[in-house]
Amino acid sequence: MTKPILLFNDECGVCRRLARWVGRSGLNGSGEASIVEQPIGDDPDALRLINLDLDIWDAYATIHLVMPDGSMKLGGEAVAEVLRNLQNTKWFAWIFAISLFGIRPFQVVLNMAYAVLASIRPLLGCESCGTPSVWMRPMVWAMKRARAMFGGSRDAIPLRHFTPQSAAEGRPPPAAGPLPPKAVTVTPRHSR
Amino acid sequence: MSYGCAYCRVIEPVLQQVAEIVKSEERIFRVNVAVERELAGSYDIQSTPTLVMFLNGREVGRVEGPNPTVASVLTAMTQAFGS
Repeated sequence: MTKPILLFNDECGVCRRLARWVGRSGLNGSGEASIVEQPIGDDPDALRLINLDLDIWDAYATIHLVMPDGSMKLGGEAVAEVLRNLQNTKWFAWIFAISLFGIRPFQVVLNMAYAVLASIRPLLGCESCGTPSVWMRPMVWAMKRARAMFGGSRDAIPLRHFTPQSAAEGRPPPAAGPLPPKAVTVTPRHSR
Repeated sequence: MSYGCAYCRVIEPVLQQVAEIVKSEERIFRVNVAVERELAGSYDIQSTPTLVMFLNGREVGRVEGPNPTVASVLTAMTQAFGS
């Protein structure tokens, strides 16, 4: 591995667009990429082949940049490193390394900006972010209502909660055999 | 579940504990709805995580976004299988 690998959530529209931008911006004059973008995928074992310390849940929770020396940069640190590697952003990315009294103020701001962006992904088009965090739910609810009112048909029905006996008439029975396709048994970690 | 869902990540260790507790009677499986979209659609999965309980091949209950505690999940299962 000679180039950093940027792992991104391929199921998330925001992440996909950002990864594409990194891919385009990372090309040098000869068309060679300075950063390799790779979807995280859904195979925890395949991910560990890149780095043994990579956990698929962690990879989806925050941006990971795997460096050629095997180290990993996460969150805002990864963003700063990506910016340092891109042709059109490396001219200003040095500011994230500026340290005042042991604190890197620009890096702190970048870390916070990343945290906010990661939190509002469901609003920006993350198809796989699941149930949004509690403070986001009113905004998500408002967005769904707005979409329903102004022509968007996506998910206009409020989510239901705890509905035992909700087996809808006509819902097909489970797939033949004891396991649906690609179902994975939940087992305690220590027994894996 | 979906690996991209933060709430699923929170509930994963809880499900592992529940799987350990109920292993003699029940089995817990997880399905990645980001991959198995058709399956998720056929079961009308609206959000993640959604726990769907089956007994003899028939759905007997479901919980969407349960509290990530062992007691809460066990209660949901008891209510579903007891009814």
